[in-house]
Amino acid sequence: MQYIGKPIRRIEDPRLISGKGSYVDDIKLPGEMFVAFLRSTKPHAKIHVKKTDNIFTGDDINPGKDFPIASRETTYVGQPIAAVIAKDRYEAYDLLESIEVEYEDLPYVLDPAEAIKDEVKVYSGLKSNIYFQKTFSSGNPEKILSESLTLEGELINQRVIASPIEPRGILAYFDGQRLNVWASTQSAHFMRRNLVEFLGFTNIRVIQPDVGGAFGSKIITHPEQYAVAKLAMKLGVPLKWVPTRTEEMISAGHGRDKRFKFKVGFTRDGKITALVGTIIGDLGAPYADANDDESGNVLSTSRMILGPYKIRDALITSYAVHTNKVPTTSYRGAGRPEATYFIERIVNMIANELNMDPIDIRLKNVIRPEEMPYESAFGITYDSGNYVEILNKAREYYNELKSEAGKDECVGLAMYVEITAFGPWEVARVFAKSDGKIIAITGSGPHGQGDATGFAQIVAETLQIPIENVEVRWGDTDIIEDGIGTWGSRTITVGGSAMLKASEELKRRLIEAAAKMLQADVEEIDYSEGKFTNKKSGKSATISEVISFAYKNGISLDVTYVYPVSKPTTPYGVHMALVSVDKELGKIKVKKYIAIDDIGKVINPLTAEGQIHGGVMQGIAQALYEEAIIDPQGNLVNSNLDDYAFPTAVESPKYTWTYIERGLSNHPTGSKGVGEAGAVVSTPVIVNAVENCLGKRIYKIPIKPDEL
Amino acid sequence: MKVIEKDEKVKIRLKINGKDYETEVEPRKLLVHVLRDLGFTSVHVGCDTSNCGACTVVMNGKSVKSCTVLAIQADGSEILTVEGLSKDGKLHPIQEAFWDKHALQCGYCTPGMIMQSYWLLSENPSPSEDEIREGLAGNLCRCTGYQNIIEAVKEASQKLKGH
Ligand code: FES
Ligand code: FES
Repeated sequence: MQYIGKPIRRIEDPRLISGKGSYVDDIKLPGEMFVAFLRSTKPHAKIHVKKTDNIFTGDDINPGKDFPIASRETTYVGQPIAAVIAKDRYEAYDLLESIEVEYEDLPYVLDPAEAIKDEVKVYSGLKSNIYFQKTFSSGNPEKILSESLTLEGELINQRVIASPIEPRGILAYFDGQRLNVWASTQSAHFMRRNLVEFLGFTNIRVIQPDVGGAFGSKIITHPEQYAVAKLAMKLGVPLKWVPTRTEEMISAGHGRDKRFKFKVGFTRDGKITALVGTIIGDLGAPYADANDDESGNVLSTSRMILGPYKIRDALITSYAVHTNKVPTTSYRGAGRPEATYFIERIVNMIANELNMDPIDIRLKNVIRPEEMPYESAFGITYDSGNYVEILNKAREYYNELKSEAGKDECVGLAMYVEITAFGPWEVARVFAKSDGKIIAITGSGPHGQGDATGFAQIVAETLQIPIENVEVRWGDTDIIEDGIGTWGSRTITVGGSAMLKASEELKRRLIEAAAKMLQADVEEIDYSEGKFTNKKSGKSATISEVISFAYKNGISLDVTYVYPVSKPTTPYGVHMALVSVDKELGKIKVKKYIAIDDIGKVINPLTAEGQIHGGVMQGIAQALYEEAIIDPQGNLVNSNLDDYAFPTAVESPKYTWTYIERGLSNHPTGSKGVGEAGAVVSTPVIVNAVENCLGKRIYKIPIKPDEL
Repeated sequence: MKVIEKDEKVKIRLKINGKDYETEVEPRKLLVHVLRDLGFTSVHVGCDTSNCGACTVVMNGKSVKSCTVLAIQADGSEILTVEGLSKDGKLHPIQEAFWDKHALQCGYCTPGMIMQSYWLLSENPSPSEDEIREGLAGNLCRCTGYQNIIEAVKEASQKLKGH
């Protein structure tokens, strides 16, 4: 029975293709009421909301504070400033129109480069708009720069919106003793911890039902979710909140939004000698949950900016800055796409400057296999792999694409190394039911990635049983000790390692029980494919017999394993695309996309490839289509899926995915993360291709038709 | 001419997946919400501007975005949702193909995507790849990057022709 490494089709699918999924808005409690939020129309203002029955303000939720709900001062358009409760969503939105708000305009700042000057404060409660300023330095970059050829500029990695097809949502019910919460979130456990802290109350159960995607936007607990939980406690009535798409777009899922002013040094033969620059990350308004999340991503951008290259002389100053805009949060890749974008765009510019092949220039600079594990100048350890090999492998595909490229068609290429499988730990619980079924529960919170299938493969393979005998569950704080969640491309690796260790422990206990049952020492028991045999006597028992024996003899077969993690593991790859650029019509089309990745041991190539497709499409969309456009008054201009250029099947290219398993991780699964890789690298792939076609440098994305 | 006042409710009949339903609705209520209230929660809401197609159902033989139809406008119509596709517990070939080809991840766009594919294949049993892409352009998916969905529709078209 071998499951790991096979393209097993998903155990998640039968319900979902039959319409039997259960997303938060599908859940209904008797007597449930609907909550809607009134949102600020001003980027910065003093507010006064006239209170009447059924209208709740910041004072009901966070008295005297402006977060999560603004009570005196609002700091971004879209910030919730009042809530209404009505019998259904139609009446709730009617009721919203009756709320009277007085705004007293305050000066605001939308551009982070302006905000840094601290002339206008984003919020009166801030000492400075600068959340942090940090310097990363190594070697003697200024001196080296003065001795090198140089190139400089400012690259913009624009603000985009995660836009999962299911928006956020929550249903909360306080039964007098316990707060029961169902939420569209990336982790039930993380949300529970947040609610416990906010409410100062521990008897809380959080359930993550089916979730219609997130891409980072549902990691944090959102202002509305805190508010609904609080109101549910107050009122004792089940309360549901589901925003409209427009609300979703003006208040959540904003990510990226970083710029990099750089100067790079290089030699005539393509060796990158030094990199100096300033990164500014826009955090938006000071909502702590979001800022904690995104400021970590600004650090990721800064520390990963050297890419897979041996650059020892570097100086990066990085800022995380508040503005009067929607607080930014993680979006697929969470800081690493920006890093990869910046360095890969710079490498492309140097290659064009020197008229050098994009693979040759990378070969000249990458970390050599014998240098692995390699600690970068900014202290990131690249744990394993062979960057030279993957570049050489990419060459055949690259040359093929090149030879296919017709008139007005170009090939672009980019390489990435990225950090995945973050700690601090994850939990798995594996136990046997008395009827022989194996139940596997993860503390992570899959919401589309298909990890349940991966877990079933891991458990089935470890226990040597048919995969059909394994049921995988998650997303309920009551069914497992605790958990971290699904983000940072960590689930199959960290959650899977916990699962593997728990399964091994269950197997050990089963062997122990079998030894008792078959009157043998543990060493005398041979286990294979669901059968325990006493090597001495030849007597044997099936796994269900052993399970039933264990129950009758008071032996517990319920294992919880907490798997701790200290360091991320680093997958890498080379992606390329054939892109046609029609300057007359201003049309760009990605015709073919080829991805070669090393994500360590691949547990399930079918779902891993699905992650690459989806991530690549999102990265392409950032290169060519998507941008959160904010007008001078601080309003999101394109706040719906018509104006926000969300790609359809027509825009999607043909993808080819290949993988090598050269650099395994140190985790028991041997795997590395793949969830974000596609989005990390595909943006520069496309921009590099277009740049190669245009013969002029591109600094700003998405590439607009009139720039061609 | 029948006039319905603002707060008045009106009785409508719908045939959903072959069964008759009768319900009272306000004139302003959208079909998508009525379908969901009747228990057809496969019909999803993904936007408020008729772009995403997560709410797609087949109404009187045509694929429609049910968020863009008033429930009273649908009075007397026959509606097919994904809950009605499988027969005797056996998956419809399109559902089977979505499973085989890994054409879904979070599954939120999936019911609408399958219904749109169902309609597309009933209109055009042998669509070219470009016709499939165009045919699904009203249905947004954030997870899959579309390729596997296109592959699934191709496979389903082959299977359905074999029948
Ligand atoms: S809900 Fe988006 S088109 Fe109907
Ligand atoms: S599978 Fe998630 S939106 Fe399509």
